[in-house]
Amino acid sequence: MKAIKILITIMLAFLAVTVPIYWFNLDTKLVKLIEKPMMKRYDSMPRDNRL
Amino acid sequence: MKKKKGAADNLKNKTAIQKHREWRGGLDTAYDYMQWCRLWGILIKWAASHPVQNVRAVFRYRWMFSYLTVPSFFDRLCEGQRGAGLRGARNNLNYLASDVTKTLTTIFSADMHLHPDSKKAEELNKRIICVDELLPNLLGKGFPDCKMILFQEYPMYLPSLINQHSPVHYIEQSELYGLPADVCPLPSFEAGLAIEDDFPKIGCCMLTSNMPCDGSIMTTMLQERRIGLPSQVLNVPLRWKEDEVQDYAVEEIRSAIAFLEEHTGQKFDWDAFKEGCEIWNRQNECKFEKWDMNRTDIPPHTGSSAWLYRIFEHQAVAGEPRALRNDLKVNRILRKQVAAGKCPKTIRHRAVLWNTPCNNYANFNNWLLNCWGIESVCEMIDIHGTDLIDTGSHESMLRGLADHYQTSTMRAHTKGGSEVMLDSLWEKYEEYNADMIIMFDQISCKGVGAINGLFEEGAMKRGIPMVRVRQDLMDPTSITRREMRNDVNIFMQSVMKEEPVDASLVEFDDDESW
Repeated sequence: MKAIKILITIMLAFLAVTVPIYWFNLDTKLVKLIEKPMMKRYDSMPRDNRL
Repeated sequence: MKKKKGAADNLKNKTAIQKHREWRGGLDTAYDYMQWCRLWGILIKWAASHPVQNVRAVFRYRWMFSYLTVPSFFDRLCEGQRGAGLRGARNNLNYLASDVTKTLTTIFSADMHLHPDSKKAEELNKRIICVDELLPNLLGKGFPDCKMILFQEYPMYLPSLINQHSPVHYIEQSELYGLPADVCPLPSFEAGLAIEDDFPKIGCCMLTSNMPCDGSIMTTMLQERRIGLPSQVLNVPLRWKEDEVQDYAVEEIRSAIAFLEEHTGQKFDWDAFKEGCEIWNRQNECKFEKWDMNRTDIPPHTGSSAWLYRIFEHQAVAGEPRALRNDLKVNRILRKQVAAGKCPKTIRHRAVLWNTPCNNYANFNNWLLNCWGIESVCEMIDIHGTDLIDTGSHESMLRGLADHYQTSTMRAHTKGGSEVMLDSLWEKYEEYNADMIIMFDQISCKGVGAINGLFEEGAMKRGIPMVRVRQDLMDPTSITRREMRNDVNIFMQSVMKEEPVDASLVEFDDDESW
């Protein structure tokens, strides 16, 4: 009985966290936020273009 | 009067990021959510398996950033989908994610850029065979203790689909280096990767090829200088419909096998190869069943996720038991919907899409259906490697494999003679009971560009409405997604004289979209 209660609590907590992330597309929006700094980093990396 | 809200109203200006995910009705939205959780489970499992290595890979390789946008990419490929179409798409895409992350783990574990002087990486590399990404890796089933990796697939081809801007920097590098700017973006992207030293440093040997065209042959020379592995060309005959070339094709494969045996120290395992061919035959049968279902009035599985999955399956996971299990599961889902006579989409037109689709607009099919009700019932890019392999003898298997190569992606129709490109189009038009043709005009492709006039003449002679959609494969700076949509908009408004299904999708700004 206690195990079922714990399982239900975990599932509800999982839904409470993931459903808003899913619905409001927060995962995509977060990746968009880091795009500019990542591109800056790639642009600043030293390259040896000799072939 | 209140303006009716359309799908584009949910997109942010320029980036086209969804303000919130799509509402597809209770059941379909719940299903989509569960598959999104499954995708994130795959990504988290991958990240957690080798956290330091994977973070270093993301920071080392510009193209790795595109993989961070995969959830958004899958959303775009599933835009507007309901029922079996949604379920089929999500299952296919999540299987792809699962396989790609496994391969990335192998690549990065062996990558000498990430693990210089590592003995463990060196040992792993002895069992990695690199092949040109357009050479299907079914041959690798004969080397079960080795991993055959499509070399350019992961840094180049997949990122070009996932994020339209991923090729731009690399194409610029190849042009700055002095290479011609009018070459197809695919080899330009590959050349740029070689120039920037952005290919992972893996493998014990490399099989290159003459696929699909001269542009790729040119870029192979640059790549070989950077990669520095022992390499051999596996030549695939162009005139693949001729019996005279088949002996040559088989000899090329025998020679490739000998080369791989020499460099891996492994003997070719005919039993394992036979098993791989038999699984591939069953995968093909699953695809034939999907095509049969798409010939009905209620096609269940069409569009971007279908052709993308087919390309990946044919090139990278032919002969893979897990891929077959996914196919069987998806076919069960599709069959159920067709048997129930359901079709949860608005179809006004059944279109045959011909010539190579545009990587930088991978979800173009979704827009066609959602905006104008144009269902992509048949696509040229989906039709390759369709001959079953006779596993009765070593010789018949080699002939089957030779045929598999000759009829692979970007070979099955663009080489072999005009009948496979031209006549095949009219045959498919009848077979699928289509009522219009969407002809991709890849402006950098000199080969197919040479017969554009024949397509137009043929369509006029048969009274078939045909719209030409210009695109530049994977360079969004020369032809944008907006311009592609405009080609269709002008046709549908002025020639077909129709109103859109969703007016908000006719004109919107997604230039900065991934």
